[in-house]
Amino acid sequence: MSIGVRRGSGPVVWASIIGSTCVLLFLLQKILWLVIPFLLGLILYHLLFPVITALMYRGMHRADASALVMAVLAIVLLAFLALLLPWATEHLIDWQASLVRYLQGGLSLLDHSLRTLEQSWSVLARAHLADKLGIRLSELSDHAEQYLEPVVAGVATWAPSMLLAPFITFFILRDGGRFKRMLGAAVPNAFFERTLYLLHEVDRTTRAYFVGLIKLTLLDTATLAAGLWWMGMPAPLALGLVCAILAWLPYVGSLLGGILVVLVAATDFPQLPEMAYGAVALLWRCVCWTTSSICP
Amino acid sequence: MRLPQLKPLSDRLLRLQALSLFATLDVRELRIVDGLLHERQYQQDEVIFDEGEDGQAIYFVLAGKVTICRQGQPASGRIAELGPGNFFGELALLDNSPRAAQARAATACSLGVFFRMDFQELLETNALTASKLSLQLARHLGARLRDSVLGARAEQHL
Repeated sequence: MSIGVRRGSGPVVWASIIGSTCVLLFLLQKILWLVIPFLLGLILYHLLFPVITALMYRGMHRADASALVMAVLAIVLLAFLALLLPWATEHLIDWQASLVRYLQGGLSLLDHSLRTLEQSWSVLARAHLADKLGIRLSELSDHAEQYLEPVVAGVATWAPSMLLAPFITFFILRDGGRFKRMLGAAVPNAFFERTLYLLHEVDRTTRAYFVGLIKLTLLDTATLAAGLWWMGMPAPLALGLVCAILAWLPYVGSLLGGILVVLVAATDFPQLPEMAYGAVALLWRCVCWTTSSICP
Repeated sequence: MRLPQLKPLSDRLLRLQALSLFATLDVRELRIVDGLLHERQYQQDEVIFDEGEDGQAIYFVLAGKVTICRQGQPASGRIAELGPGNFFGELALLDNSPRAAQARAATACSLGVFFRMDFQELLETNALTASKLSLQLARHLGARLRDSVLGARAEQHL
């Protein structure tokens, strides 16, 4: 074999990678309450790091720059919450009514579509699919509190742990370099260079991933909002933003975004089912286009 | 009128200031660089890096002695012996090209290690400090080049 030719990873390496990923996912699932705020903190860290860099470039110490940036962020967030909370409490009842209205709109669209299919296919008509599904859905809505209770309880349990995210961000911003040095000091001399190189590569890759994710979200929001506005959908910016954030979840997120726009289109334009299909097509097209433009 | 008393430099900063690469840095800049340096202890005959390894960092001899030699030939293939105040592996600050020789601890020694990634970060955060380092590095490499191309007496001619 000639010198310099590198062999690819074998099945053992791939099996080890897949196995360790599964074990990690299983273990992380047990501490999800900590993993989620840590991920949010990491995203915030990568977003704020350029600001810290700019301040350090102007001669500020890293610790001071981190404290200043986090203080400004806290003030902005508190001001935003102070403005948002009265407005949100004022509109809470309207939102509740809207939620019920949009769910009913979605159910009507489903019922309408199934009845149209039954008219075309006798097999479906004989099965009384629309009627059966209507009964099942009404049963489900009668026991909605049974399903909603664990969700609400879960949100209430998780909400306090989300407060950890800004603290995690602050400590990574301030002490990230020191932590890296401490890790470097803990490894033997033989692996020292490689370990620090690995840490740097992990940092570089996660930064590229999260910064790319945020760019993708902004691009998705802009294109979706423009498309939905052009179609005449209500609140296009909010819908675009929610769909773009949902798209963070691979596959499932885009599906949830699609369901959301279908619910809105079916409720606000009950006589125009093509609006719902058009909105889904727009969502799919925008996500595909922005993904391919960021990751060619 | 009493002049303000300057805080005396620590031994570590004095040792850093004595290195030619850091000779033009002021105290504030030295502290910044010190924050990026990793200090490692090596035992006698311990390999610091091998010939052909990807270079990631420059090494400063803070105490003890280091031998630069051909791979696995510390005695017969010895190229240089470096003492406190010297540095080696400086090309790693520019790229990750393979190391040209092996480095071994001739005696128990203490080394300062400065990574290329940290240097690149310094270029973005403290451009002035990084440019001073770059200039010193360019001077050092220029002197090496002059020595290798024109011989030891080159300075007398140029």
